[in-house]
Amino acid sequence: MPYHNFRHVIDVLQATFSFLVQIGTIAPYPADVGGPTPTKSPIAKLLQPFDGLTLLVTAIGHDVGHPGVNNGFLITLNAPLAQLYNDRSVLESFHCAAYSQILRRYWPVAFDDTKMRNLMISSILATDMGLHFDYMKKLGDLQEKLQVDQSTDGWNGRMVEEQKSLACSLLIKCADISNVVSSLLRWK
Amino acid sequence: MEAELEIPSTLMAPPKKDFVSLAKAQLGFMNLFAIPLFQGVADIMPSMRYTVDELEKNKEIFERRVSEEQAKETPVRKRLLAEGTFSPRTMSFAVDPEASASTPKAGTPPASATPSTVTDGKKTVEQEAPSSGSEPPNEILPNPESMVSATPETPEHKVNGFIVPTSFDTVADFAASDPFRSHEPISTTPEKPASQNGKQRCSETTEESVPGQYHLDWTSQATSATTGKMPLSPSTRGTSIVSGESIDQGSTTKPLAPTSNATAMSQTSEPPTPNGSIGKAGGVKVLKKKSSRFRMNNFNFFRRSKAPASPPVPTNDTTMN
Repeated sequence: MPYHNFRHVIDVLQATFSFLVQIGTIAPYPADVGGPTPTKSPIAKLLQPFDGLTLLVTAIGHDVGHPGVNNGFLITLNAPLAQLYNDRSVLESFHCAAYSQILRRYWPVAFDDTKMRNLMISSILATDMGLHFDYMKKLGDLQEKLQVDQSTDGWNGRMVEEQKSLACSLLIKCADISNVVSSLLRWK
Repeated sequence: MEAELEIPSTLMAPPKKDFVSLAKAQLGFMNLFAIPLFQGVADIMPSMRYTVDELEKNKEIFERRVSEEQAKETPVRKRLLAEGTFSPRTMSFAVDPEASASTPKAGTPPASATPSTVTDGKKTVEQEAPSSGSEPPNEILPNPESMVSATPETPEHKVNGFIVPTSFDTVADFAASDPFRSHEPISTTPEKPASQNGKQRCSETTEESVPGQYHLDWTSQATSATTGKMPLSPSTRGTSIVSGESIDQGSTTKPLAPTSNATAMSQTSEPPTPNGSIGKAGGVKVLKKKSSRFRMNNFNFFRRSKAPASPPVPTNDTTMN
């Protein structure tokens, strides 16, 4: 069943937006809908609106040029793409590179921004489900750390960057599979 | 696409079209990936808790639907289990190869019997599940029924049994592991297995293009490292496998096996092995345990060279022997 298409992009984008609003990184839209301002969790506090923007941009392009087959298939076939990326996150690397080129052509500002690009790259690469369990482990570590600390105050700069990147990756991952959690009535 | 490219499918769980399988796959996916992920994220970012709630709700919906569908199908399954000689160990319907192969005619009377059972199945199922649920149970019926009726004596031969992917490399293979569903998409033409039996199957496969075989046999793709790799294996190996199977099938198919081998060998691109195995898939699912031991060898061959006529014969022989 053809899956990675325009609709998927919209789903993921919508999901990402929903998450970002929910955790308070982005202001709710429409802005006049008054809800209680959510108290941000320590992790959520790490994410600036800029990161939110990055995530949204990432969501749009995270599956660019998807050929309809998965990584295993490409690796088995020794496809040129697999050879190019050394069998590691083949598809995701390709999505990232292709998207970067598109941005370079059409949105140079975004492309030039190193921080945004870095975050984008790590987030897109995070959508490789082959690495899913790695991310689950990192998530576990983060959970433990938070149980001890309850805040991110004691963290040094690099840790902050790392965890921010991890948080973004997790959000994108959630959005990527959010289609199954949003509404299963579609199947009927 | 893998069918066109003649290599095994790398899908962890071959997609099945019926609702229950899809639902189960979704459930599994949710349990395996989604729930831990969202729960973890909700843990570190409590504002995401709503996703977990939604997940749980959806899971319940799915589970309810699955149990509903399964309740409808259980009567059918129980009948099969009772009537067929279903071997729980091999999860296959044991069939006497000689009885089945030696008399294609024996196949025909059951063929006439099967339509009635099919209609029975159709009626019962259609009353309950007019949706896609009716299709798969119908497919269950013709094959086991024909197999069972064709073979009154049932020794433990696994030739004309049903394919069960017995080896799962990934956790996500559970979706394909449901033994009762494994023989569903056997054949799109219920009348075939009974009437054509061994003879026709061999001839079919020599003529049919490769993609045809994959249409019929989803679960075999799970173990299809061998099936897919077979095309690349040298003819000696293919011959041995086919002859092994043809021996099991009995005298009727034997003269055909060499023939199919000959035709296949002349083609070079369509080696005999898939013919033998596909011939079965064309009619009935075959227990693929036998070929699984060749998996690694075949895989290596494929990696080494993409040309089908690669001659790693010595290695073949050592593994064969």
